[in-house]
Amino acid sequence: MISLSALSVLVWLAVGVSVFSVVFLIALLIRDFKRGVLW
Amino acid sequence: MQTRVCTVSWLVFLLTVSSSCIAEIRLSSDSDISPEGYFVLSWQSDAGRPLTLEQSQTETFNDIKTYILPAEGSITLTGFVDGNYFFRISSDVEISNTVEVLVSHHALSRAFSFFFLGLLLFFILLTAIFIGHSRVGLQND
Amino acid sequence: MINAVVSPGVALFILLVFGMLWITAGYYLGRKNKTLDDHMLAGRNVGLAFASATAMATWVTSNTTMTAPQLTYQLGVWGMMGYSLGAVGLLLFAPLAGRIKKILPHGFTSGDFIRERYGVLAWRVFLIISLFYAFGWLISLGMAGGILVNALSGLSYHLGMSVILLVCTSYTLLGGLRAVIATDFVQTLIILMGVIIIAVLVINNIGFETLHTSVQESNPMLLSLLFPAAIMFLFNNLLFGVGEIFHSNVWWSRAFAFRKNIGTKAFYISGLLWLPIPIVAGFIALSAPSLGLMVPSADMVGPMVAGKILGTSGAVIVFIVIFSALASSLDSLLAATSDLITQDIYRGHINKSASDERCYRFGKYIIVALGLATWLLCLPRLTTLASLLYFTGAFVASAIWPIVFGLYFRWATGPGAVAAMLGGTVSGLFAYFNIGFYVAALVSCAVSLLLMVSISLLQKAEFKFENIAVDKGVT
Repeated sequence: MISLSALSVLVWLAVGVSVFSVVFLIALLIRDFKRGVLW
Repeated sequence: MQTRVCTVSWLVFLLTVSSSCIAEIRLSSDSDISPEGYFVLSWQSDAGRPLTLEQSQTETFNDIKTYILPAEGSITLTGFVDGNYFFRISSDVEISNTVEVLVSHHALSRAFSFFFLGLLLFFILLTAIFIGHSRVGLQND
Repeated sequence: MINAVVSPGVALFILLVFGMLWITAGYYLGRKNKTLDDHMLAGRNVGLAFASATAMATWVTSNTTMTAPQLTYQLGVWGMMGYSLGAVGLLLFAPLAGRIKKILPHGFTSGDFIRERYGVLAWRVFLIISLFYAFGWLISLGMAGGILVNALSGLSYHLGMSVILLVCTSYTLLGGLRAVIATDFVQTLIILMGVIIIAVLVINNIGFETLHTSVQESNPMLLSLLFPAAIMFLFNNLLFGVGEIFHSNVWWSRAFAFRKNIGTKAFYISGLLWLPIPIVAGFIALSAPSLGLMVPSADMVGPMVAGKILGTSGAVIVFIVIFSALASSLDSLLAATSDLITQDIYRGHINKSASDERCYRFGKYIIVALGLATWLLCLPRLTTLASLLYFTGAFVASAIWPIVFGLYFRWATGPGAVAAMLGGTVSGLFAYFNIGFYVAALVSCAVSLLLMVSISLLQKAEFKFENIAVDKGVT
């Protein structure tokens, strides 16, 4: 059985990575735009 | 005489009306044996009364768990461990047929066989890609 | 079912506002498209940001947002984590994307590779698998759109489904792959932010302790780490995902479209970004017992939880997230399937000397035809059609080895590939019907491997990769 703490850590970790993803993608877009290599 | 006729007519009337009103609740399950611990129960009920689902591990419904059912005619139950489960629906006036579902999870040995087969295939895949990728990298240099 | 918390009017308004946004983007981006390369492959020069986002967004389908909670509800924590293993397909495709771009610099489709590598018979078998999968996915997306819109808002299935298909077909037609990719970027952000908000609100409203306790009491198997069916599901799902991505032109067209040296990085990034989404979207299903939710069918548990906890605003968020997930996959699928039909059926079989300009025009007709065909097939709302997608596990997993061995090893042969695809598919379907959906891809993959290796090695061939010469079309 998955413990309460393991479950909460797993979910919070997943949420954290998703938040990071948003920031990361926007940063990547800005970088590509500045370099003129969007597409 | 007239009261008797009236009574009889009233009784006849009641009988005819109530026989068409005797709602039957019919309960059924999508599987008799569930190897995954989830299954769908469906019911048909003519009367628009609030219905309760009763769940028990004994046929005599000694120890019951109840769910108050919504209007839709089906419910998905899940997460059951191995065992026999009996279900019936009751409204305030009647009880449906009893449905039995046997939850019998796949043997863990079978589960792990598939797991290790999958792990093996995954490992072969990783190796193939790794070897292939490094080989073509070498060829280009 | 769900108390339609979003009114039909609001639902239609959201669909139309976002729809107009995507279509306008499609129109402006499409004005720059002059050649077949522009339209089909966004000029073959897409940069890292767009590349990563489109790979991620396309793989987040309504399946991710709906099926993740469904699988969590049916198979518990391993169901949820097993669904995350779908990211492995993206991660493993990363090196393949680089290889594909290298050996087929002028290639258009996955079909181009199979034909050049294995010959005509293998090509045709592969096309059947590809088109079956494409239609299965298109129909499941089209129907999901209508069903969800109806469940969340009461807006009629037919109206919702039609609006979604019309919007996606329109901007794909107008803007080609550039429009697909640009809208994918925005849709990715919407999806990510949406699932984060819903997850955090569920955690705040219920809390892990309550959630854990009530599941332990009423649905104990869902927390079990020794849940047999879920354990069987783990690698099956991984291999299903790998099969889907490795064979499908949706991903091959991206490999061709991304700038050189970008493809590999983009797929690694998208795989990692995708990994947590099924967990974020799926775990909310575990709150169903503590909410006392009576779930009629497992695939509705996600929207039901969101609607129950979050009320109108939650339902609106769910609505926008699912619409974005649907659109980001539908547009890719319409574009890539049209490419496949144009290049491999039209130019490959019907009009072998068709020029690029001709294919450019023909491809546009095919997009419309695909949109129309999907709409017609979704009209009767046959649920058995929606479950077509589950069968495809047996089909697509059989194509993994032909593709991997074909890209890297000289000993892989056409007959081996044909046997692998046919044998894998048949055995996978057998397993599907006799054991369960959660082993079909795995069985197909195993049988396919045996056939591919044994028959190829018996032939003792040595393929010369220099022979692959897809210049502009079929040679």
